Amino acid sequence: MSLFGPFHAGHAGHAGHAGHAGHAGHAGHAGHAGHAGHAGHAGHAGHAGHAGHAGHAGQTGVYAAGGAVQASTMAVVHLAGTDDFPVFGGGTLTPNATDHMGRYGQDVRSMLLTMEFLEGFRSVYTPEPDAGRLSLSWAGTDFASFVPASAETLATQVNLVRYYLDQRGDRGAEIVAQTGGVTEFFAPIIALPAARSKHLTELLQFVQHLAGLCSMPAKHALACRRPDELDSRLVPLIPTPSHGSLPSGHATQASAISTVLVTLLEAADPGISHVAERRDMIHATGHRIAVNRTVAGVHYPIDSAAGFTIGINVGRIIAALGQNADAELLKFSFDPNDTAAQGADFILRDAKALFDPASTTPIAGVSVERATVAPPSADSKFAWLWSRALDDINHLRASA
Amino acid sequence: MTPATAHVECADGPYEAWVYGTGKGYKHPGLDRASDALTCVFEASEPVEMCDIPGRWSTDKGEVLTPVLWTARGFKSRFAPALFFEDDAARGGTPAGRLQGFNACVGQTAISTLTSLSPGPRIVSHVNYPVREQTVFCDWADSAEPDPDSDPEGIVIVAIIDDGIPFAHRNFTDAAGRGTRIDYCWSQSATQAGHPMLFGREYDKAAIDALYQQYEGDEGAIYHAAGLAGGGDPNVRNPLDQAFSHGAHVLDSLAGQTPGNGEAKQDRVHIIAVDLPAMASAETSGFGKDMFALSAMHYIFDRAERIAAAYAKPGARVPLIVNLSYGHSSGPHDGNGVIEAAFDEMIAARRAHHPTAVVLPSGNMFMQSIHAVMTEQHFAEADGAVTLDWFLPPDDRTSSFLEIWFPDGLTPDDLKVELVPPAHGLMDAGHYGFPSADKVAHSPITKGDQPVGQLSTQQYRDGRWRHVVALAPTDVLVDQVPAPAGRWMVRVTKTMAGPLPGYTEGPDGQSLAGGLQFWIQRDEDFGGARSGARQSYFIDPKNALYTDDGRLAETDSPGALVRRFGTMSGMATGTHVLRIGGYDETTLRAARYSCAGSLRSKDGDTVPAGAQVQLSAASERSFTQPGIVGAGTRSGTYIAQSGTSSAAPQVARALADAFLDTPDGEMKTVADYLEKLDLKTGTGDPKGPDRLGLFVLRAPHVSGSDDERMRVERMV
Repeated sequence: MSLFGPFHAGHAGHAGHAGHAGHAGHAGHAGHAGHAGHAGHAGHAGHAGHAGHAGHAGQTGVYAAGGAVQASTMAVVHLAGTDDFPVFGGGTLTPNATDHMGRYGQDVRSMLLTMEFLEGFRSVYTPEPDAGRLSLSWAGTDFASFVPASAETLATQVNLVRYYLDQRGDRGAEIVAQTGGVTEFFAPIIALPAARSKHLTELLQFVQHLAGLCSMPAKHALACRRPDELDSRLVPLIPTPSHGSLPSGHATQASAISTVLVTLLEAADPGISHVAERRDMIHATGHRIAVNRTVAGVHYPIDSAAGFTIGINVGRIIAALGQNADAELLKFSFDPNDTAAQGADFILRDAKALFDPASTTPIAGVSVERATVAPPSADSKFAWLWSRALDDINHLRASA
Repeated sequence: MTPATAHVECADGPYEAWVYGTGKGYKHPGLDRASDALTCVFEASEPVEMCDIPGRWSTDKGEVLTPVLWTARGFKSRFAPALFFEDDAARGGTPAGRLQGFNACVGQTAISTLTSLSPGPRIVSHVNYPVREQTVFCDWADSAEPDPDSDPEGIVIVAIIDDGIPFAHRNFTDAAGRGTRIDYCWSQSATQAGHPMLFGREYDKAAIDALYQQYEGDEGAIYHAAGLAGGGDPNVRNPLDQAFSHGAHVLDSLAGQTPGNGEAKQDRVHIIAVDLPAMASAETSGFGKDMFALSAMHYIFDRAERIAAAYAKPGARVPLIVNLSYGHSSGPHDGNGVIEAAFDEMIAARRAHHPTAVVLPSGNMFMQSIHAVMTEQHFAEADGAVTLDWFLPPDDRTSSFLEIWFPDGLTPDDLKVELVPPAHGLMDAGHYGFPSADKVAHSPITKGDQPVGQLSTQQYRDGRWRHVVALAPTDVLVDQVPAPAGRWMVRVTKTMAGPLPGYTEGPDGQSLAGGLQFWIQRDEDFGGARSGARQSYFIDPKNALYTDDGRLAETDSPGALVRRFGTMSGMATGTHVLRIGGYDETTLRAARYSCAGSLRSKDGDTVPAGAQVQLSAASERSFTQPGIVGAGTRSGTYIAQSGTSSAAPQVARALADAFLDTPDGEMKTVADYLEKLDLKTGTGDPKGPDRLGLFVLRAPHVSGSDDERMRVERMV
């Protein structure tokens, strides 16, 4: 991890969060190998390492103090006397109340939100005579479906990956830093120090975590070899993750974060400056994070396009749950073997077209339909975190 | 004599046609404001006396205006800079429409104005980049000439054309610290303070000293007042907003002295500076700067007349040494580029009376695989059809350009050139042929019926033929079609009978270009312009990138198409200019990037062919201490800057010093100037003499070890 230290230190300055040591632990995760660990779940500590970050550091400290705390507490209980206590006058807690989110640690909220999201999420692989099809759905509506990439597609795509080799000099530092999380790369655009955006930071890190989870069944089903398996000259800049290439987890995460952040910005109080410019920069940052993985030599451009089709919808679902509103999904279908898609790069123009439901720019291999989906519950626990993240965003108001 | 015999035309060159026409929808750094005034270089078929060209004339759509022209001693030239300032009503049209209007009315009016002066010349307009509206002063009048000094002396004039000229910097004050040594500075993009010029403002010595007093030495406030810093317009890059600028470094190498260490004799060196607009510097197509550079040269020559009249002894020869640390990689490379030919005429005319040197860097693209030559041998080995791969990088936000030059005497009928796009790009055709042309023609390269490139055929300035390929950016920000990144292939089929001519010797012993020559235009992000430019390059399996011992190969591979020798800047191949390379001061070997002239085989030997580097100066101190230390934009700041741009002004300075010591001499030829310098030959570099020419050794222009520049040299 020490290799990543200097870069993280730099970004910690940005985002202001000390949690980066913990986040570095997540770097193991970042490649999604981590998510596997998360699923297998070595207990709460592991989970906290993922979701807890800064907030959790304090709790860990209490555990660490361990026996000493226990001993000192026991030393003073005699002051409470030895009589039986009367029935607690405060009454019982309301069962199943969303407000209790405020009582929990970040790790607990992460688990609850993950479970709520997964109640509606399905990943279904349908074998077909030729290629088979993987569909991801939520609340009964498919939002992203793919066929596996053919050998011919990858043969063309691997050349595009090689074309990006020249840019490692420009982007090396970013690429290494982004093997951990990527949320810090958005922080400078919204001018929010972590110190006054605790819930926004939590939300974005949760989005990153959830988007990563959603990409994994697709990667498993589509079973796509990484570029360096096809071309020995790529020599990736970072260790190649063990899971499949299509879709890109980083693209899924970056596009989900972008979607959520832009939704928050646009839902925030009037008076926030440069919303359109910030939106463009957020979208461009999401795109750049995805392309960095191609420069690194671990993803094809089609992986980025596929990742965006998932991440944008994950972002839209979270935004809908957060607002207890219907989800406006973009039902993407992506065929990487489409003649145009095979040789297509994934440039910012394409990313912007995917983000924008009104765009008429054709994206090679992608078709889209819009669908409005009602959430399973009218009282989502996401709303608790969403409204607080929105408060954080409102700090951007010029008049504050 | 009669207008009827005159012929008016627009050069309609490939770059203008792409940038203002077919490719106008793509991003072109510096070309995003419709309100700006178009500029051009007029070329007449016969020399016109400069003083006969009117300062302004009206057309039905606006006015044509000419900046300061050098008119001394009846100077005649075929070239003149001009700009076209449209009426408000004519603004807002499409760039292509504006260009047509420009060509129609400017051409007609120019010819009707000038045909009365000279018998029936053809006039061609070579359109360049626009000048920012806010910097144009249509009602300008030239500043007054200074009164003669009562105490004339032997003087030398040095001049710089660059961008980010810090005219208030203390390194350019006189030895006693009384005031600046800059007699004239024309900031072509200044909007305020100073004396208005046709575009930009002039700061003479009195104005600079007055600004310095007024702002109590606060250089930031001075540049802010001039509109050259802190402008608040994110679309206008102000180099003087930055800690370091190209122009500050180059001018310091050319004429800087550090406080307390000035030599009194340097006070006899008068400085003229021209600060080019940053947007002209940022353009990556190479054609855009010509008007700015030519008008700068006219201004310098004109102001040199003023300085000579005011300060020099009557009848004395007044040496003028101009440093222009710019370059690009397009053009014929035989001295016939527009700007090269224009400079040559001016230099030759002034040299008839005064020593005159124009110093240019050779360029920094030696290792970048941007030059190739197809020879008879290649065609013989490949059954008459030779291919060359051109790699277009992804994430390139600017257009890429490739030039293919035929040898003298050949036409596009002799060699059939085709462009084969990468298959994955799904272009509309599997290959594209170039249009046939009487003089010039363009045809689009399309994808889904959208043009993403342009193929041009042109007889350049009535001389050699060229093909030019323009390709769209591979990354686009808006809803446009990008050119596919990857390998584009140029396929050349020999259709002529007999062998393709190789280099030949002209009657004057000069080498004539041979083979089919390729240059990729320089396409780099210049000085923080954030243009998103990326350099394309050739891929040639026969070009060994590494030597057997693993070093980067700095010699050309036998039989390869790609060549390092021949990358010489396309602005620097004129007859009368000095071409400067860069070397590593510790090893005395060529700096890896330092461009060189072509080589050819002759009787089993490798000999120089065409324009070569004549002189070199240090551009690196050592492998571990890169660059040469020179001034930043503010007094007291320094930076180490690499590149032949840093070498050229050292040669210019050495020349100025030599003239200060021994002002005499006819100085008519380049050889005279080489002789003037204390030069070294012989290096550890086997390619030294060809690649580097003669060596100018860096003379420490400081007198004490406590000098601030020397302190910085030890640190960085």
